[in-house]
Amino acid sequence: MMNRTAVARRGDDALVTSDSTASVATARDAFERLTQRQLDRAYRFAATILGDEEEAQDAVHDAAVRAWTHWAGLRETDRFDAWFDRIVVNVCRDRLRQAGSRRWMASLDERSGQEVAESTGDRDLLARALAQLSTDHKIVIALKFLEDQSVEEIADRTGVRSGTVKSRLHYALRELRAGYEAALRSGSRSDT
Amino acid sequence: MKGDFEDELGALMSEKARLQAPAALRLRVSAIPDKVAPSDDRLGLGATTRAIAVCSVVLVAAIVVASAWLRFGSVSGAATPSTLPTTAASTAPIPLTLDTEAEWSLPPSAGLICPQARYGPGPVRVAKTGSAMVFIPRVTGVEERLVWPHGYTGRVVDGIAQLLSPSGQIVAHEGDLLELGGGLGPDGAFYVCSIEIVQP
Repeated sequence: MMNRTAVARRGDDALVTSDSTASVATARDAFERLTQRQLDRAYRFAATILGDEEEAQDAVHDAAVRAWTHWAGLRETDRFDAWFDRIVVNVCRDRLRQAGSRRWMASLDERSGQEVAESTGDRDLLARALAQLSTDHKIVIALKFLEDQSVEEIADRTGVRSGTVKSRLHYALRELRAGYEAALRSGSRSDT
Repeated sequence: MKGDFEDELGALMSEKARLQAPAALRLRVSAIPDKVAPSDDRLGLGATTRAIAVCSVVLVAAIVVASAWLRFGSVSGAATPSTLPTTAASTAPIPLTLDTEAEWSLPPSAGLICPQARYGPGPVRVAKTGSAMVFIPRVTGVEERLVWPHGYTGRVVDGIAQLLSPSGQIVAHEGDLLELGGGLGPDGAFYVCSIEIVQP
């Protein structure tokens, strides 16, 4: 016959310490497996949004740290992709807010007119137009056209309603097209 | 022009889609230490979203507590199985009932005894039913009475049930699969002494 009271007295630390090591190891395995599987996707998304591959690496690393820090908050591993996407989106948004547009302006200013003229052409102009979009517009463009996500999926990742996503996509595309066409016209004038 | 724009956008995104995470990044992620500094920015939601979430949870919790108070007069006066007090949490917790042992009655030297018989029905899944915390055997699906050490509590935070040790540490969440160790008491209940999370 067990001694119930003795068990109860033993309770707290014995329970916690006996399972904690195994629990952390199991959780770490799951975190490692799921995160590594998503790294390519997270990285190309961050690189597209941030326009800088070094910055993208830092952002994805930050996102992974946040994911691990809050791993206990993930209740269904089936939801990991959406959960991690959301963290990556928020990390990129934070970084862009902190940096403002300085990075983009600097990277464009570093290029001389001659270099621009000799660049890869229309696609480069489009990339520059994309870089000029607002943070929210960049995010919806990348999620839609890079990640091929539905409006509902984008709403889930960005934390806004579907209607807002549709509106942002509409205006982002309009702005992107306008910027691209303006760059094309500007290029044509400089050629003549 | 329209066709050009869409073609170029498709081509640009295809170009980006070929990017792969550098090996250095994979190594950096693998090297994240098991223990990282806690952050108050859960999921990196940003300050505004976080503030809205906290306010919403506090408001809902206030409504729930007020409703309980109006209906029952008090939520803290019940006997075992009791509605147990909770410790501080990031969001307002809602208590869950949990069968626990009564007050201590043996001297501290008796505290080293901890039966480690494995719980017969096998691993149990942490769940909640109404205002009670329950542990459902994975194989049988039939709940049996478990008694936790004195001081253990249950609560709901953000809709997820949590099992806490007397010191307030979260030892399991809803959905976790636990292996239990302990022993049978004279009343037929299984008295838990150790747990192992076999599947978070």
